Amino acid sequence: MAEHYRKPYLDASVFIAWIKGEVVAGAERGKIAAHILTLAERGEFLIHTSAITLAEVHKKRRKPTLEESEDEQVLAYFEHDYVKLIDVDRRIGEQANGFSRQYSISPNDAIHLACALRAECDVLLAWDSPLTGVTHPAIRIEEPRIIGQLALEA
Amino acid sequence: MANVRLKIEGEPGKISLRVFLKGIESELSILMDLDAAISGEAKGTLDWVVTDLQIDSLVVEVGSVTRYDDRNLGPEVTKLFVSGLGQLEREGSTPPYFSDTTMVSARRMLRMIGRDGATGLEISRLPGETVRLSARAATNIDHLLPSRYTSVGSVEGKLEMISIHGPARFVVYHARTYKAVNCRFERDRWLDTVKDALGQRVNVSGVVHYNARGEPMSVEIADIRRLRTEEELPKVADLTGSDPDFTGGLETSEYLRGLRVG
Repeated sequence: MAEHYRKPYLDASVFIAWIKGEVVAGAERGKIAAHILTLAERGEFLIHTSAITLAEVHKKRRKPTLEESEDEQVLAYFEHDYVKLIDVDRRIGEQANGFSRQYSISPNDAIHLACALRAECDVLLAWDSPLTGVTHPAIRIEEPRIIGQLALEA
Repeated sequence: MANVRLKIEGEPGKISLRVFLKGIESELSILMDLDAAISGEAKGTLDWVVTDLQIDSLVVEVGSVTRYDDRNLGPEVTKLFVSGLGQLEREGSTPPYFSDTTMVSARRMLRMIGRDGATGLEISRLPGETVRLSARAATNIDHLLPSRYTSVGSVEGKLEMISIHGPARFVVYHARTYKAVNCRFERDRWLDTVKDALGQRVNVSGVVHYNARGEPMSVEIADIRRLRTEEELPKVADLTGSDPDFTGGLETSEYLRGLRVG
């Protein structure tokens, strides 16, 4: 069983996999993400993410007409009190600039790392190898896992 | 009753009465500020009474008495008092629910260390945590109080404490840190909106002033948006697997690489 999360930071990939109900190589990422979010919904812990996640969790359009209601539902989810947003401000920008260079990661990856550190999170969760490949002394960076018992389906 | 103990350390007969009184007065100011901040009532909900006094080592113990039958914030206030001052000593960051006024009171109390016979300060929650305070905590407050830079941005949290005495303002308790952020607004333009949002979660945007640690201190309001209530928001189950085609057939990490790297 994975170590319990105390103050997890969720990268955009976790939210996207959740909305998709994604399964990759037999790994039920959608269910794992839903499990973590359900624990937060039940008050087990607060989840943290960057304001940039709101821009990244955006439905890819295949049609020329926009389906606003879907994105609106997703954006509304991020207003829950147990979802703590970290703003991208000057200090985050400066720190992310340094991380991009130090770890050879994209600016957005670096912003996620800087935001997780700002919130003093114990773990940064992502399904994204450039980010999970980073080792930082102040935070665990890893793929999400089931912790405790899986939520029972209704 | 929730009790806190303040111990002023120093050689008997050398601690001045002025220092002693200043310490007690500052302690009371902090406790009253925290009570008002948590309760949302300007006059607070608690009275404070002396429960013990020891003159050999200058120990004053006070306890809270709630004015309400169905509401007792004493334990929460005393916990925030002790842990907050401990946070100022250890981490040098602004504690939850500490406003600028509370910080000034804390600094006044801490500055008596090393003066007029007082060599140290110890505060305790009874029963519970004991924190030993040094002059470093006052130095940390000096670092936290001035505004160091500004940027256009936003702050999210609960709107409380509207005041129209002097420049119109209210306080937003930051959603993540619970730090008190002062928000100044144009009375004619925003007062009705502000009154409607009292006690609600809001996003306020405008020019944000930050301290040296990057904590938001105040906002000159350009816009206020009330956030929806929990009942108005979708649940986790509502969105789980709700859109298998969200990334247009791409695996999530591949989709994100496209966004982040191009």
